[in-house]
Amino acid sequence: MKKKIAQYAFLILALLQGGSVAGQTADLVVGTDGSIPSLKQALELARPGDTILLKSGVYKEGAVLVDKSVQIIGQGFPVLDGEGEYQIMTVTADDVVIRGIEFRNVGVSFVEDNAAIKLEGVSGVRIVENRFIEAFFGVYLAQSQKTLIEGNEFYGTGTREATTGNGIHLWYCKEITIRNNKINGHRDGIYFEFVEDSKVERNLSWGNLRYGLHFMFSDRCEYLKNVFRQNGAGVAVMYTHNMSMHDNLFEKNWGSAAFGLLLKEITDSYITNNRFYKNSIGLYTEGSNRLHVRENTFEENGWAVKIMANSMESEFVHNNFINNTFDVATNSRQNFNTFDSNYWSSYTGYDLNRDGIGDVPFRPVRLFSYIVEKQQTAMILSRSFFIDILDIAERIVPMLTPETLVDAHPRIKKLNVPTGEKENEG
Amino acid sequence: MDKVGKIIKYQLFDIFRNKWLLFYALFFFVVTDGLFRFGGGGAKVIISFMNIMLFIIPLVSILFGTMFLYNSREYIELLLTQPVKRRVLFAGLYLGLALPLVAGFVLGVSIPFALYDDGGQLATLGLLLLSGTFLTLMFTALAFFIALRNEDRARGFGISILVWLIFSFVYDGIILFASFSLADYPIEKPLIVASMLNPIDLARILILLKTDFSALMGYTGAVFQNFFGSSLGITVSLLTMLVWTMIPAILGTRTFEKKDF
Amino acid sequence: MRKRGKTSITLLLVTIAVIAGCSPGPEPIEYGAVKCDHCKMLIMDRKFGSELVTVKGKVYKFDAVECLAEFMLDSSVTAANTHSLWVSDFEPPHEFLIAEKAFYLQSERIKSPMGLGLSAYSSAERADEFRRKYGGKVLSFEQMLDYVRASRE
Repeated sequence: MKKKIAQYAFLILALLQGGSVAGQTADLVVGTDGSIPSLKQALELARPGDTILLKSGVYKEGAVLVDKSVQIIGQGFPVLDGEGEYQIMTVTADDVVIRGIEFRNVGVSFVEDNAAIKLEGVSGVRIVENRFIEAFFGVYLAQSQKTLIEGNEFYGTGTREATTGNGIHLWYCKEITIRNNKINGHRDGIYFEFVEDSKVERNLSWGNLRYGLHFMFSDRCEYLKNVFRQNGAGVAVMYTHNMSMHDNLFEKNWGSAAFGLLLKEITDSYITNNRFYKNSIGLYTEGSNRLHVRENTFEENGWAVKIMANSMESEFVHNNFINNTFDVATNSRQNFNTFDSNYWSSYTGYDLNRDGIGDVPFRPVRLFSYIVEKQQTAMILSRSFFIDILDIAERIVPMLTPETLVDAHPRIKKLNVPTGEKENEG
Repeated sequence: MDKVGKIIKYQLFDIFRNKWLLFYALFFFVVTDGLFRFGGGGAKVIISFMNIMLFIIPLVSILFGTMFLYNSREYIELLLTQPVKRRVLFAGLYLGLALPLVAGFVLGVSIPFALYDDGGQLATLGLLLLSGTFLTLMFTALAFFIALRNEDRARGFGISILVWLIFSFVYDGIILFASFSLADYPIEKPLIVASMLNPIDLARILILLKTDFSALMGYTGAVFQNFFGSSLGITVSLLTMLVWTMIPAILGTRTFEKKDF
Repeated sequence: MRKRGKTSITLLLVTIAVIAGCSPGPEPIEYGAVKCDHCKMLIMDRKFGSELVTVKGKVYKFDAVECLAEFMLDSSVTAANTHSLWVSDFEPPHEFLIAEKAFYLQSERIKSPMGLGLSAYSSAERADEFRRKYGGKVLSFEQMLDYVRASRE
């Protein structure tokens, strides 16, 4: 415990006063002018608990193995260059700290998931305030736990081909915190596979080729206050239970295969206080049950919500639906979900007793959006006179759209719902 | 050609005297202006406007065309006594109606655009104007052809409205029906062909693909974008529009040449 | 006469278009632009893209061998309606292989998009070479299907 406190104190000092102080307290100093010319050498000399100070400069050391519990602190952003050939750093010891280093040019391989930093079966590691430039994979955590990844920046290659890996990749991990990172140009910004009890907070993930954030088979995770902008397909959460997703901004994920948030086979999860703005599909759910979708704002999306027939027992309550091309689409006449007390900008009813609740129930599913879910190619008829007539006819005499998919208490005024994403504008 | 010009000129006087053209232009002006004022900017205005345009232009063109020909019966008979070739006379009559319609539409739309738009939608505006022009030319020609083939006014109007209904309503119904009954087949490519066989659909799809809306059309939209975005696609669509204008015009001319007034 | 000519030309064009649209066969996958027809994920990785072509010429595209397999197990497209099945060669240039004739490696160390670790190879020898490097088990098409079926239990 005392040792931990000492470490923290050191970190704070290093941060506040820069390299000179760090130089004095470091156990080993690596630099072209110092006595130790390479990080590899320093790692050989180091004892567990030591601090290695890496002075600024470019280090081409190939693959570096960190198998002792050390702190590696960069001064003036030294560069570790993988020369397009190597996985740069592999960490196999617990409680390692890596801070203030720029990782560059990780080797691209079509089979090996080479990373700038790979953690293998470790615990208590902290990766803080580093930069990752053209890393194939940025930080790769395999079978690790209780680790913090904070304040890093990732800039991938961002080409269309599959020559870029994920920014932060977790595989079989537990209790990981990912906070305040910026991730751009990777395949998935953040990727979780078989991860439990982890938290993703205040990150900015934009311009990634596939997803800004991607969960697979990962239970009891939470992500909040993140911004996901202009990613190839948005955010995907798949085969996962007990998720909490709140105060995020899903923005401008626009394209023929894109959406803000894709949910597939998710159960018992909370989606609250998020903002979905200008996505081709705001929220898409398939095979997902018992979702609590509350106090979100869906604005100017192509579709605000697409809910497939196999999604059940979910509730959509107190959300704002503003200027979406289609509010809700579904492919079934049956509906096993609840829509209640939402605000719909396309609601044309009235409120005679002035209680703020529309006197006429609102049916958010238009006939055309139902038709399109049944047969996608019908989309080429959109905005035709024929479709307009059909929609009007259906609105007057509903025959095909789900009868029970009705908001019985549509709000007359926009709901004032807090969203926490604002403070994280990049 | 000189004689065509003379007939057009004469007709223009007639048209301006009747003021309906002014209303037509004013209508487009008010609609476009209103959409800009209250509909926010950009793509949304384009799409809403497209909706109205694809409804109004074919309808007005075909009804006015039919009406004009029936009402000008005596005038035409008078002209026929002059030493003018029938072909030339027809061209004059046709262009004398169609061109003012085009002009009214183009002016009515362009002025608000020039006032409000920062030029970001210029290409889309061009496409709107071009498709509107083609649709006017085509439906006016269709109207002439129908009116010449039917002595009975009521019958002529009936057929005109029917033709309009087929192009702007029934055809899309058939496409919807077909895309459901042929759901097991890869129908994207045949659908491209089908959409070109109806100039209203063609115009609608070309304009939609030009806007953000194309992303909402999913995979089918992507297939369409691939085709209509290519230079082959653009050439073919322009040619199709042209053919769609030429066919009724040629049919009309032939009928007019042979008709016994 | 000329009128009839026009009609027949139109008919011909339509027929050509219909035939061009219908002759069944695999289509190139637009990586990064289309969704998997099973899991709805964006198809990104050339090593794993797969297709099912129906007798009527409709092409379903998948991001992984396991998605193709699950689609076969789940969907309404029966074996009788299936024209052909295609998987990408794990090795560059990742050409399409006939799925039934390909060999599969199931290995934890090969991260396929849907987590089952399946990759496809042009021959048993090629698959075996990768097995020596990455461990796991070489499977035939049928065994691969069984593996996917069992993994869902």
